[in-house]
Amino acid sequence: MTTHLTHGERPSDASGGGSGEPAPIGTGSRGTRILGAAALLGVLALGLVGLLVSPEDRIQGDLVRILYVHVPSAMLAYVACGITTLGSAVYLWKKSRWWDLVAYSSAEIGAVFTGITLVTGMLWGRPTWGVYWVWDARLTSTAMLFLLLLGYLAVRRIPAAAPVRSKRAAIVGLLLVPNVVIVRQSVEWWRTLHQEATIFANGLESEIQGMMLFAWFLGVVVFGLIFAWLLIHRFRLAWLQEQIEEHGLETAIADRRAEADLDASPADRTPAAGVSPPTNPTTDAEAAR
Amino acid sequence: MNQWGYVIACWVIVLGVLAAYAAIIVVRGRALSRQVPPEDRRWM
Repeated sequence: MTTHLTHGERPSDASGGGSGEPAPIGTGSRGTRILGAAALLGVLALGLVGLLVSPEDRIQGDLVRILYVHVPSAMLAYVACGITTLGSAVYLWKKSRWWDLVAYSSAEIGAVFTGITLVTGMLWGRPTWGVYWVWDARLTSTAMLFLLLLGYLAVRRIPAAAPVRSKRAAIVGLLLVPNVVIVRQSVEWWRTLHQEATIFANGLESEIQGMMLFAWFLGVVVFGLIFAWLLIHRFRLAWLQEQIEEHGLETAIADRRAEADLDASPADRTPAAGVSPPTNPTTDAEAAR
Repeated sequence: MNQWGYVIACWVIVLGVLAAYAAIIVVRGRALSRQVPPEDRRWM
């Protein structure tokens, strides 16, 4: 991955990017193309295993196939929140621009995965519970997590100087992991309609076995690949946005200085019409004598 | 809607949202990278 960057440091300075290779167009690279291809193949394999090969559940029937996308989405949403909190903490500590952008990128992806978790959960809830939504502890805490992520992204959009904006967002980012703990433990702490942990119910023991367990595991791996691909690309996009913002500011300052110089120059060099140049009273008096 | 209807809806939404989000990132990245000098486009 990219090396640690601090404020004012260019990525090329830190990584030896001036290696003579042509600058990339877009956010892709050889590594991300391989990662993307692996993720696409993984999606195909997951579709095959999750929809066709794995058996239906004794109680839930074919609805169990929602588990193979719902649970990995939720897990990656938690991972995204963890990365955002970590990035926020490191930013507040070291003022590392790199970690700030990682936190920002991860929060946006986390919001996408949390939104997916909520929607797939609702679609699973309708045939299972008879309703799309119930103010259950797990569902409510997940909705709160989603709102917190949207809040983080909203704070980043409030106009302010970049360090101020990053600091405000980082403080919100610190709240994500405690919220994830509440979401994770909500089915243990409160009486809920949502089922308890299926996979790691008793330590490493799982409530599902065989092909179902394999399909779930494959789902986690594939979603992990997708997450990694998205995070790298989103980070690079954030980097480009920051470069443009910085260049825009530098250009605006340079333009303003040039305008100010242009305005000041004629006044310095030639007096304005109808105004006499300042005279030296001593010299004038001596000349009159 | 039967069980398979809910299953297919879930899978289509998940893959559709992720594909759309990925496409947005790639397209925006291509557009923005043209506005950034080549020396600032190196991040690895």
